[in-house]
Amino acid sequence: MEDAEIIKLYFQRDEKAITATMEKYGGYCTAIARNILRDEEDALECVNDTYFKAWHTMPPQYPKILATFLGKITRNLSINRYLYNKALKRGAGFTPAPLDELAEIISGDQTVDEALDKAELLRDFLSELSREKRGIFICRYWYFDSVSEIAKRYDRSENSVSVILNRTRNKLKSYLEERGFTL
Amino acid sequence: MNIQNFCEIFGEIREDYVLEARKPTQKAFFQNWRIGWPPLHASAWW
Repeated sequence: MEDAEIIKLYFQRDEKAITATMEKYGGYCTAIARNILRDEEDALECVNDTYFKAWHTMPPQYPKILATFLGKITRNLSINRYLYNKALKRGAGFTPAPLDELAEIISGDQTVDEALDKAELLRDFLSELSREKRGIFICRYWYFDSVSEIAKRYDRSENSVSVILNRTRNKLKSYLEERGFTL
Repeated sequence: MNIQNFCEIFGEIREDYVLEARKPTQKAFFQNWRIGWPPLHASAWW
């Protein structure tokens, strides 16, 4: 079913919208949740919560791209679940590798205004990267894909992907520092 | 900024970039063609 038809079902409050979403994007959302949580039960719960949230968000929201709209909900719910579990010491010892990597370049406090400025700079930074480097960076830090999955997807060696990620992280850090910000 | 702030900000990047990241690059697409990956139907990219 086309995305526009699925969205129309949401706007008509037709519960078939949920089934159609599950059929088309269930795998996509589950992959994101699994990458972050590494726990089947928690991942499925976050995906079900995604459908619930989508149902209560559309209308009024009309997503431009349904896949990323749903993916973003799953990603946010999964990160929050991960942090909640961590606070409760559930699944102790496990930290998604991408978060560990980011911890190396992230430090300090900020105001809300600074966060908004950084969001703007992050957008500019990504637009200056080549399609491949941007894609690799996003697969790692948006989708939380493993290095081996990214290597397969981009037909590169795992070492080459790790080098690109490392260089891009450092480049982002320098990019922001040159503009008076720290991560 | 902490990790959660960064994840939130990174979650708001351009949606076309997010979608594009999962589409096979032309090089990978043809390189993997012979082993049947990636699938031909776009919705199976992920």
